[in-house]
Amino acid sequence: MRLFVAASPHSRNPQDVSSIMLHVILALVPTSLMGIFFFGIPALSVIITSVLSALAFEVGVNTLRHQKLTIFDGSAALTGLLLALTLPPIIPLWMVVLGNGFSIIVVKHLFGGLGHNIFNPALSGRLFLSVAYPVAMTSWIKPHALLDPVYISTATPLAKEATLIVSNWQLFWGNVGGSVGETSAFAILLGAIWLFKKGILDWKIPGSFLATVFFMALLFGQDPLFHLLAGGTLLGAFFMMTDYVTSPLTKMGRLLYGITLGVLVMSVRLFSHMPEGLAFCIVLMNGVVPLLDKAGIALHVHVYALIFKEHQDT
Amino acid sequence: MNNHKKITGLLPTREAPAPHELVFPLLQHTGTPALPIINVGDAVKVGQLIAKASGNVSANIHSSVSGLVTAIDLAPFSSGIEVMSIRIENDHKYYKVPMATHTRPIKETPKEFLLQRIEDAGIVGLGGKMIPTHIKLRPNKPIAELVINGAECEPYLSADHRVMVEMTKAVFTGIEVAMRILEPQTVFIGIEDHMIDAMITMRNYALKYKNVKVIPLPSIYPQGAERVLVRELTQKRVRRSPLEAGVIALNVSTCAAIGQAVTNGMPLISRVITLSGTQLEKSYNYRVRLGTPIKTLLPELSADRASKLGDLRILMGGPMMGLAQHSLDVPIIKGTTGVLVLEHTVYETQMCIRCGRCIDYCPVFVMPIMAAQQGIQASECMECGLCSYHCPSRIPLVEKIRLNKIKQQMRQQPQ
Repeated sequence: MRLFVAASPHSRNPQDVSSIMLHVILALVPTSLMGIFFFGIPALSVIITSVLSALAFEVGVNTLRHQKLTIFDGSAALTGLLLALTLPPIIPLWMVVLGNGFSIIVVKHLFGGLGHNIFNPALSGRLFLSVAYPVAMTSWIKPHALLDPVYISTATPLAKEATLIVSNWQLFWGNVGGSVGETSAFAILLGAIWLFKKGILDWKIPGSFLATVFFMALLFGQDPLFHLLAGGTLLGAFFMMTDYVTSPLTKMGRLLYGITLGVLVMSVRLFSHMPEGLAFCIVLMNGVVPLLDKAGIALHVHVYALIFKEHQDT
Repeated sequence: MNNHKKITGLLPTREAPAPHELVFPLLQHTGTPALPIINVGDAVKVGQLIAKASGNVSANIHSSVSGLVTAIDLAPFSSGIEVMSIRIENDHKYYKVPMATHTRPIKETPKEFLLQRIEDAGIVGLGGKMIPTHIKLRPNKPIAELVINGAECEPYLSADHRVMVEMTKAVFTGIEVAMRILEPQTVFIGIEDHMIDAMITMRNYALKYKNVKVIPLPSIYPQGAERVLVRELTQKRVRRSPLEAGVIALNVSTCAAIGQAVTNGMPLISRVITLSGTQLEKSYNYRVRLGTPIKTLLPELSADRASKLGDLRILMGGPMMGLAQHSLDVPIIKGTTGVLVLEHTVYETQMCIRCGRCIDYCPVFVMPIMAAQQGIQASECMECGLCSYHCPSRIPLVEKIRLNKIKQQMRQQPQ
């Protein structure tokens, strides 16, 4: 028997970094399954290639940096999965590998690894691919297209020149063209609710962002539900913006972040020629996070002083 | 958080075995150490004053057994340092000094008499802070609300729970004394909602009083922390001490001690503690004579069985705020709420992933990670440990905040 002395507290919440990552991965399973259901084998192979290559790059960087293996904290697998979910189902697989290389090597490890990266690795990888290979990154297929002998290329419902009319119910179940994991609002919400229940997801960022999108759409005479369900809004709101490392830490910072993002995303959708700028907006805002946190700290201290008034001893 | 509720809360309190040698540290309260008034070789009786309060903030210390004073020297103490202590050899005869009982109704007793009784009995806050009670009951401003703390939010601990069930009369006498001295408009008794039996008994007693309210509180750590409890019950937000807002908070065990001191003239020589933990086979609440070394209470850790046990952490207090002990010779003091035997686990600290849980969980609206890294609001932290508990990266936030607090204090007052 040996007695040990340590500072309090003497017990810890069993939920640590790797179990959080695992929970997020599990929360993404429904939307991945929906993607595979709608887009078939190509979607499945994109997901598998992405996750495996992310893990491989992580091992490679760990070896080069003489680090302990960090693949078991789950962050690399999560990056790979998130990247896969934002890619078109029929993208060539070597591009998936390339995108993961950019995500893991450049965006994550060149900045110092988990906890140090300024930009969301998965989204930066996606942006890298869409700048480098714009055509491949915008070749969408219709759901269940593989049952047809000929691939049918389709536009996303958000494209300005799109003539196809999609009902909100279709968007809800995900029965539309789009990236592997972003189409089914139902599956994303399922995962998000589970994360809320586990206490991993904080309402502030998705809540303020979705509310802003809703009211902006209302203000400009558009269908707010369509804007909430279409494109990557929900996947972005629940899984991309809320990435712990690249989102603000403070309560006020989070609210500001969500609101600003909502305004940015809606401005792109309404006034620019791009169909969807969610990934760009999020990565742009990632760069502003330190500023938002600074503002968040100042606001927090201010609010604290308001709530806890100094009582004068008489 | 699993509060390990609290199997021990439903079991009756047991009498703890008496040791052969007891250790009475002279510092069992906040303030200056007490002065010994006996010499080595003197015979003492149960309840005899052995060290007298000295200075403005201090408290008397009494012997809890009868026997001989064997030494006055440095002895191990719960905070890890060595403290001047009186060692008394127990003769197991328990001769008592005469104790003056008091039968007049509290309402007609002069305030000064009551305060003197409390001061003589050496009563300090038994919730762990150990502020001398006679000082707390002499506030410098009128008191609007008196808060009685029966929340006992720390996991494992259930000593206050048993006190409320088994010593309800003494608790209410103590509350009555505090009401007589402070003359508050309202008295709130906050009890966590898992202690149903305590709630029923306390409610029945409280019916006799017009302005005493027993209020159930959700069982969430740190419900029993003074600032949180006062906020829950009186809606008054305070930065440091509830006195700022004209509120005074007393622990139920302290009230029971006050009650016994006033009616029976009984000095503070024993208290109820919880003996529990994952590494103990049987958990109970014990009434322990102050000065009992913890090895007397833990025969399971005796030498012949010790080899089978692995690495342990023996705590005084709860798992969230308790102090890990380096020696089994450390005595039970007035502020000890429990002794826990837990396994020793080492957590590997990782890079902060900026999840913000510390900020979300902080009960007093501080940003723990900022307080740890940059010292922002560090002085407002009450060290409840919730941020460290929830941190997925296992960053020792409370430790860092404590360090920042000390640094800031040193900067403010050089030397």
